[in-house]
Amino acid sequence: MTGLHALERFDSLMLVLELIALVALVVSLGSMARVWLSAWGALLAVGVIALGIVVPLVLYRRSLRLGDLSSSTVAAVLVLVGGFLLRVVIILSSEGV
Amino acid sequence: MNPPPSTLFTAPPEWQWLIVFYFFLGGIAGGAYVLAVLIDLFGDPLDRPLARLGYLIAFPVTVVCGLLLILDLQRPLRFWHMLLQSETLRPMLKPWSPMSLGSWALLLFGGVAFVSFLAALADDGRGRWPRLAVLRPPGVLGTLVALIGGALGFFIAGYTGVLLAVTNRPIWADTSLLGLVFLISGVLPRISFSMA
Repeated sequence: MTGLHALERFDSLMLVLELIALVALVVSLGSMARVWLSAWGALLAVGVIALGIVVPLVLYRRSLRLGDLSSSTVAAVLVLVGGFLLRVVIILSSEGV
Repeated sequence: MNPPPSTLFTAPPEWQWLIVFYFFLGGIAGGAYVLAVLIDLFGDPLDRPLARLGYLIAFPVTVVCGLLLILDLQRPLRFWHMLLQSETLRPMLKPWSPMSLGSWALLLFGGVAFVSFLAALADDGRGRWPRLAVLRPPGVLGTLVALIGGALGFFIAGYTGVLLAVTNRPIWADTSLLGLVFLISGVLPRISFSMA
């Protein structure tokens, strides 16, 4: 249990870092980021950032505060899906240009 | 401002779902191993089962990664040309190419991950060779294996982003942050996988 809670905290930290890195990535793209003013961008915003980062962060907080392990399980699955969708967006959106 | 015309760029590599899954699973395999090593070396002994899970995940997922890459080739049976020169059978290693380095890293990581897989089974009282448990930390030999595998796993988890960045393709070539983003999100799914 201790290990799982430590992982939850570490995972939360990594989620924040991922969010910062993603914002920096979009900024670094400059005008090329306009490619994502499309369904790909929607997938990035909703699938990766909202469902894959923000919601898991909230669920991890809930798990740490209330000891609700089912929240962390849902968060873990969402992070997995978000990580997959990130690669889908990055790889396939470039192929489409 | 509209994006530049596609003729500015090289032809697309036509990477589709097999590569998407490879990038995803590569992050899981590398991240699983790295975190297992961190737990083994610096974590509480009570968390050793969690680290064991990481080793047990890393090897089979690495095998799937190799299969995905081979299947994605136009001529899958010639996959070994990524590793050996066809005429001399000497190693085909191009240090300047992330793809070549990645092929070698995946091969080596697969080997070390297999050793750790067997060691994790032995450590758990399963498997035919209980002595293989010495290949897992905290012993000297196990620590050496873990450090080598951890370095390779770290590379596997992050090199895919660098591979994209050194191409001349839109988005991929327009930022130097893909390696970092993939590395971070590669560790994340692994952690989550264990917890799920």
